[in-house]
Amino acid sequence: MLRIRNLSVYFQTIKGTFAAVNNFDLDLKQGEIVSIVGESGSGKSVCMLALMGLLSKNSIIKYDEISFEGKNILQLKDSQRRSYLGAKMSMIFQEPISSLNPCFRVGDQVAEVFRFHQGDSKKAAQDKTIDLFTQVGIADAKHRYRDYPHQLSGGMNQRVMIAMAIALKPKVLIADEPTTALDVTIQAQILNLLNDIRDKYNMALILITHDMGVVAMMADRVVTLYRGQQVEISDKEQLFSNPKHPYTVDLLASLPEEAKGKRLNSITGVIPPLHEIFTGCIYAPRCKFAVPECQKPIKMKSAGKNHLYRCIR
Amino acid sequence: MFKVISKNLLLMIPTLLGIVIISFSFIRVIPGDPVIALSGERAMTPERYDELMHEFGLDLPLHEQFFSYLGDVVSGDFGKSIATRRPVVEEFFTLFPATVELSLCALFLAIVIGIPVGMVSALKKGKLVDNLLMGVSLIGYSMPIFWWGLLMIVFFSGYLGWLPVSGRISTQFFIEAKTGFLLIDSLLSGEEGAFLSTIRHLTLPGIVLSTIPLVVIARQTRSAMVEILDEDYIRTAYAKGLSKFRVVGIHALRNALIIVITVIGLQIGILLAGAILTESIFSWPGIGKWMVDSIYRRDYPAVQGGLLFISLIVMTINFIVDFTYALINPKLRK
Amino acid sequence: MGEGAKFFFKSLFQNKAAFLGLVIIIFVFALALGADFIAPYDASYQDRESFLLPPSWEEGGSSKYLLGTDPIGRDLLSRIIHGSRYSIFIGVSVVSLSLIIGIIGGVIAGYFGGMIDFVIMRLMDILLAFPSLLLALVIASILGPGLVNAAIAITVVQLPHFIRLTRAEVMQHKTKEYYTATKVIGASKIRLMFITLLPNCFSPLIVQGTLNFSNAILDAAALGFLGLGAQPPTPEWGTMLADAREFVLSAWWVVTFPGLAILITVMAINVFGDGLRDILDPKLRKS
Repeated sequence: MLRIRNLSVYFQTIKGTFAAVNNFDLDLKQGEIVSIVGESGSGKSVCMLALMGLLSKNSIIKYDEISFEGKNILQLKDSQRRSYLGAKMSMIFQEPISSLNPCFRVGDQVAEVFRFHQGDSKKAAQDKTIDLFTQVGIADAKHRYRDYPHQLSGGMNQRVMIAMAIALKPKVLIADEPTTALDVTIQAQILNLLNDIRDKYNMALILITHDMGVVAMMADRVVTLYRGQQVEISDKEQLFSNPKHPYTVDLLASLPEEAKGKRLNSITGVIPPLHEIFTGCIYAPRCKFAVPECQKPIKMKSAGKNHLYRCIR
Repeated sequence: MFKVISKNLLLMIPTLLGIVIISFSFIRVIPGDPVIALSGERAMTPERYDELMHEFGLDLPLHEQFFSYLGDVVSGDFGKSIATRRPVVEEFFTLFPATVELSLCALFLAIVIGIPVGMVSALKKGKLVDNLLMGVSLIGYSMPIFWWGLLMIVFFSGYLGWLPVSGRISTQFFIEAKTGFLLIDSLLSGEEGAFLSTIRHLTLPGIVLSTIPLVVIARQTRSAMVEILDEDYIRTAYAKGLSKFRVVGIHALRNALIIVITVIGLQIGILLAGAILTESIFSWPGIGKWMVDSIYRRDYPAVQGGLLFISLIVMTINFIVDFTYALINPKLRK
Repeated sequence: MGEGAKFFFKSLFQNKAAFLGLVIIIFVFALALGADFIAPYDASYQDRESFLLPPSWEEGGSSKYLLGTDPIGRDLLSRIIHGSRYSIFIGVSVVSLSLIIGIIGGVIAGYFGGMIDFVIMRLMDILLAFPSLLLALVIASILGPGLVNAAIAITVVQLPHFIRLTRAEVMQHKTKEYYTATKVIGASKIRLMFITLLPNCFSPLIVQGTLNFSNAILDAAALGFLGLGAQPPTPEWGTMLADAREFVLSAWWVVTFPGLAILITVMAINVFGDGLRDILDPKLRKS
């Protein structure tokens, strides 16, 4: 349904042009949950924002193919492209409170989707919104409709954001770290809600996260991203039972569940800055198994059905 | 919100008292004898002097003088002008509409031009249009407005001969003052050409007086907009598939207006200060020119009353601005 | 030269507008200092043969008087050059006076808080309730016209800005750890106020001072224009404009050039001030 080939995103800054994402591939089927995993700065949000056309003006996007239901949405005319955004493909963000406009009632912000895309009357949009609020677990929806974002909790605001995103039953919902800013108790509620919605509408969910716990709970398939490069693409079960790339191995080892009785593993070093250019493996400087061959360009290798990784081992 | 307002109201009391003290002291600190200053009579017999001294209450102890002054002010007696022998309050209200009319026109111009200019600049941040607009606004910001007024006269009245130099309306018209606002009165009078003449007279002073507020509003709108366009909720609005027009014109603008309205409110004081210069240059018969003329004429009671009146107006407007701000900012509600 | 200073000058050179502003400011200062040597004529020298001569490039102009002459035959260029002294004088004296008083008042209000703070802030509220130019006018009319009195009047009017700013900064810095640390080791009040807190509040004060420099020049010119600032025949720019008013429709140059001098000077200071704010204000500084 959604197919991305060779997506690269560059940013022009005063200090030069940097690649934030290199040769990103993705295939998304109806109803599945794909997790994009990586540390902050790995470019996982950037490629999804690029897909939505939400990047700032100093970005350059290159790709071989982008097709959503057979159409290249990035090449559509503005007005046509907008008819997809928020309707067939929508997105929720990390900070629910700042992602909602402080000057408008939360209800009106959701109702705006019905009014703008479908031309619904004020009353109709309002009724649909209240109905939607109840569906996403907002109690006393009628009164919450009239609240402003600052009057609601983070979890409530994220429910509003989810309501806004699923209002028109999109085919794809992109969730960019939807639970990172929330309390632990709320996190599970929101993830369950997303799961329920996926089942109900049979929509595909792209879940961007740095939390392997979230991946374990939600994902069907997992894309591991390291500094703008995909290092492993795999079904979840295979990834957890048989991780191939050392970065994925290290990521999994840093899960608290994996360290029962042992010291919690942490990855040493930091992600190299974007202006450093690599011909070989980008993870080599932090990798326990690095050998001189790692400096050569490395292609994706197959490790069985639906399992690709980028390492010489 | 109620708390904010009541706190502001309470804070106004010492300020009000201070203003009255300043205007009370004014007549006593100016060079020369207050009796002479208040009566305007220069040569007088000692008997007449004592008589006036008693009339003005200057023979009482200072604190009694103050309380009697305070009583007068509260009951609406702001003293009597020496030049016209009329109560200051009366003078003030005859002239005030002219100033209000001019200021409102200037403020209207400033808002109608300033906000769009600031928005365009913010949207085109760093581009040629932005640099050009901000360059021009910097000139406006640095402009001595009395000189700006003179330049306008040199060009539009002298060189082109298009617009009149002074006054509110051509002398051929005699308009009955119903509201004091000539734009309305001239329309009501039904005299042919009267309204047009009023507009022509209003144009130059209006433009000159609007310059500084316009520039300030444009700059503030720009900086508010630049900040807001970077916010997460703007990204959300785009992600909803809304048009740029709707995102900028509704989602961003509503947030920017909260800031800009405060700025507009702060312009009122600047407008009244600007009116002093503008009215002097264009012989506009408003309170600004009247204050300057009163100072020239050493009509101290008029200056004293005018000073008190103007500061009361500024304070009232500031209070209304605070109130509006609390009203339109959802974060301050409840 | 310390790291900070290096960063400062590097940023200044990169901001072309601010740098140009600084060059013009230095130029005006040089004019003011060297007016006696630079100006072709004395400010009060009258050529009785040449009243209201247009600028030299206009028809009827004379090469002796580059920018023309005024109604009583004085060289406009020389008067403008001499006039720079008064504007600089006003700017410097107003800003240094209001900085000194403003800092002391602001630090005291911010440091002690409570009743002292309340009284100082209410006093400032009272001053702010009057439109600034009107208050300056009234003060000037009480003190009598003249340049020094104008400077005093403008200082009073600008004082609230400095006091409020200093107070806000001091109160903000009082919550920082370094302040608590110094307090714990038993530093005296004066030391805490002026040696511990104050230097950390300088950046915004410098910016405010620069921007008020230009305001002072504008207000002084306005007072001069209204006849309550410098008195004729002083070649103060605003006073010159007041003298020239009646020729506004017949001799454009006597009206144009003094105003242009004000505009350019004020603009240079404002551009420089904006640049300073971008460099010094960490809140606006982009990493």
